[in-house]
Amino acid sequence: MTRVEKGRIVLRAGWGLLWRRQRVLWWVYFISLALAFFATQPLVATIGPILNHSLAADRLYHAFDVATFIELLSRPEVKLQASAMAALLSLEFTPQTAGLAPLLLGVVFLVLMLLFLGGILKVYNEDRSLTTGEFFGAGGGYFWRFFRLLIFLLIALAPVRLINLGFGAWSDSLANRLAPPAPSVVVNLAGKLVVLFLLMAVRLWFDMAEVQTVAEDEYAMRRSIVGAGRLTWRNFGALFWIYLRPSLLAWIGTALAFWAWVRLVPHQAVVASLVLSQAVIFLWILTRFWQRSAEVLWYQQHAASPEVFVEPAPLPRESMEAPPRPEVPPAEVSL
Amino acid sequence: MRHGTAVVFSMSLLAMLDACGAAARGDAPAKVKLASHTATGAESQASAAGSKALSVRVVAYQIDARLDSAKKTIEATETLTYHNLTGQPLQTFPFHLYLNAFQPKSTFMTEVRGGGTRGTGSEADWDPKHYAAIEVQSLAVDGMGDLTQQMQFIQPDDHNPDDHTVFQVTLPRPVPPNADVIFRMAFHDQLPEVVERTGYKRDFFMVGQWFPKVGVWWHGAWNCHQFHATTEFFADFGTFDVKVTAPRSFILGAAGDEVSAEDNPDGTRTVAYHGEDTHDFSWTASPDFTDVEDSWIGSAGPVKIHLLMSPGHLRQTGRYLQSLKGTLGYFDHWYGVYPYDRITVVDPPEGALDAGGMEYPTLITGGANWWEPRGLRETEVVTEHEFGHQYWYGMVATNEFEEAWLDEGINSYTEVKIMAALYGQGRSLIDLWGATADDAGEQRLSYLDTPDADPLTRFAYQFMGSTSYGGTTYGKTATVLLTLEGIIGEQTLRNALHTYFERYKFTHPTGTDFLKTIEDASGQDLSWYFNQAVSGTNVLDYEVLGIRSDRADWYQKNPPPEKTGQTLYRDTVLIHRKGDFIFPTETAVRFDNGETVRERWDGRDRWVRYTYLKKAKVVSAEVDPDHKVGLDKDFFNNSQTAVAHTGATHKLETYAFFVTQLFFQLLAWLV
Repeated sequence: MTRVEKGRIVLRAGWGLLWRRQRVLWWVYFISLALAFFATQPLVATIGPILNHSLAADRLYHAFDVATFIELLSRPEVKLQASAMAALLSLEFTPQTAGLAPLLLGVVFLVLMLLFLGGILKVYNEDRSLTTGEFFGAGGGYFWRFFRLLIFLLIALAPVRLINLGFGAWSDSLANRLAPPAPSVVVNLAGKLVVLFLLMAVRLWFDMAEVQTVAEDEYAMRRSIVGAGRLTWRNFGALFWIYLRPSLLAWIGTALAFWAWVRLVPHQAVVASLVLSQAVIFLWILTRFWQRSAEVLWYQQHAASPEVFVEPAPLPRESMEAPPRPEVPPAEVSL
Repeated sequence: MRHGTAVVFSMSLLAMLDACGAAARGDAPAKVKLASHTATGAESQASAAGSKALSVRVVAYQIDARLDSAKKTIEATETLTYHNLTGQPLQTFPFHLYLNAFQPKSTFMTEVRGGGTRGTGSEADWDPKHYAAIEVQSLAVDGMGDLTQQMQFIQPDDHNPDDHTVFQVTLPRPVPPNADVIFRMAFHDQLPEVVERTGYKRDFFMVGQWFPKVGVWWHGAWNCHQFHATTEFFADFGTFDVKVTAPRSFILGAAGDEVSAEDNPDGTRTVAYHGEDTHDFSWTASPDFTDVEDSWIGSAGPVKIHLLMSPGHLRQTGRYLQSLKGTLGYFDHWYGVYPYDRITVVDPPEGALDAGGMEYPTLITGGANWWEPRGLRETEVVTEHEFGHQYWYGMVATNEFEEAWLDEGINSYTEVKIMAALYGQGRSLIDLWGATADDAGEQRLSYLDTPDADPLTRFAYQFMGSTSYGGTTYGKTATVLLTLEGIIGEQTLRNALHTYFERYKFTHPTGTDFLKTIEDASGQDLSWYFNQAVSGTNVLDYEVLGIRSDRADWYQKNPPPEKTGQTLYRDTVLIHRKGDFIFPTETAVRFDNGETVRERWDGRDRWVRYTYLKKAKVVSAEVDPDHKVGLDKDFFNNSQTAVAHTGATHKLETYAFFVTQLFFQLLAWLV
């Protein structure tokens, strides 16, 4: 059996696991939905009084007139919200925008995902429904470990950013030296692809670290990172294939949805737009969870510690009488 | 110099592809001929010696320039024959040295640092690669000897001693009226990496404002301002005979007809150009240009089109040509005949867009990107705008230092009209993925940036800042004229512009001349409007403050149930003038029985209330229902509906909702 075939089988099994344990998927989707709803309410409360009783709003409803939209965003009462949206898109946060609802609730969502991840991976690892207590117990148990992994991930992303800057500088340098734009453009695009590949590879590596942490109940995150790194390096082809295929599905689905939205959805069909956009968001969450479930299965099949059966030695007489020794707490792990 | 051969489109395409390939290979200069329309083959020779002068020719420049493409310098000699038509003796002559603006202590750069300018924001750091200089090495006057030592820098606008953009020379004796004086200069240019319309990028050179140019004797005095961050240019009409020597591999383009080309033993080529009835001369050079030739037939005969395309942009050729020919056609038809026999369009290469979007007589620079999708009409609008300057600046040569609204503003208005005619009302700028935008809306947005900061009539360098300069000069003027259409009619304004062009082409009119022409054409006294919109900073903002439908029998304890068409209502509509701009308005009041009533109000009071006793309720009220008053600062408060329509809000909510969730997903990727 080739690696590709093995990967396909794991993906198929991962899909089955995803399907069986779909409750976590829906929960995450609905939490995203609810938080986004609350995040956008200040904007709605601001633009509603401007638009709801104005005939000028028709230029935004039966069409999408860019000038009218910018005029709306330029109004002093909307400007704050608009800058928040711009900040979200450009990731340029200033003290003025930092406290705004979408940003704050984004952080809340991130924290919730950190909290849920332990439970989600445990669900996949054990392929069974957890009670609420078990789920949140696992989430709480792994929270700080995953938080430390998040810090390590940000450190690991720093070289990727440097590589990105390097490609940018190379592209600029070519643009300054060569008249035809093609070489500069090619370098730029190639750089973007390389950076995308590196981002995916780093994410895959840390995915495996998270999977290993839950599977082995590992406390030492550096050990998880090193172990997962070794594992990912040795099996990169198979693992990357498992990671890539759901990603491709998400990208293609997003592109198709955008095409359908532009071509088929009339301007005033708000519900259709909402359904389509939610389908895209759901697809993103679904494919991400598919990656997770497939990674868990792959780990169980290829890397999990074998459970070695050791025949217990006969206990000495005096020890049978001795009181049980207190459980030794796990060694404290430092970053 | 030929433009006669008809070539089928496919051949043109093949030629273009071939040229593209050749350019990519670094072969010899590429030249592409596109389908041409003239059948006579009558080539209009560049030199128009003996042809009837279109302008009063005050100056005659003869320049011999040599480009050093490695050092980015120009060595040149200039002979200027100045014809004294001022009616009085002249002894002192000021000259512009525009390139000296690109030095850290110049007035230009000081202003850029404080308020920004086109393509550069304020607080921008000084970049030495943008250093430029022009040095007059010698100056002699025929019959008066060497006057190099007599030259002195002057700063008529701000007395900044470090600004060297104007010098003057005092002659030993005055030049009598109607006499000629001949200046002979040698000068050296150090070009900047492209900044503010001029300079080099790699082997591309856009050489503008590069020679000592004499000021204009205007209204009884010399008019020769320093170069400022927000100003452009002003010069007298005349003739230009310019020889440019550049490496032989370079393709040249210039604001004149090519009269000769000669290869030199040192590997260079000297090309001679002649231009007349123009007031400036610029040129460009690059080994990477593809010269696309085409032609267009106007009222005055064939016009040769030279499109100098940069590498990677050839697929945008059709967009340039479509916009250029369409613009030529509408200008010729609406405003007046294009009298020149050529137009050169320079497509700046990647990284040199700061040289783009600029006008010189018979030569304009465009601005295209290799990636620009068809639905974004940046290439088209830049081409249209810069060509429009052939009329509003090129021929109607207003003072860009003092009344920039007369060239940029009028040109922005005609841009709106022609873009709409060429690409469709409401979608002339953007028509992409369901999003649309038209030029009128864009001009209005620009005006809304600072609607009350400066009057149109302010000197260009005295605006509050570059944002106010841009918003007022371009956007507000265009919006003022679009609003004026609603007062005197679109056709009347078009006729007025036609008359203005015919009256003042090849002269230096003022704002007063322009406004008077409009009043003449419309037969109306429009001072009430011009005082507020042109020379004032009044803000126009009307709002529907409230609509209300009260049952006429409201006082009854148990009134009969409401019945459509039977219950009597007292309907009221309250209109409020929020701004200080008094403007007669029209209001459309719609009732639920389908009836619409139009009310007119002179707008002099602060508010007006309309009351109706009808068996119908008010559905909506809208000020300016025909959307003629672009100057109104706030379109959203121009109307009010009785019932809330939440469609637009929910639509934008959906978009925001999606973007927020997408943001959440990106954040979650970190976990």
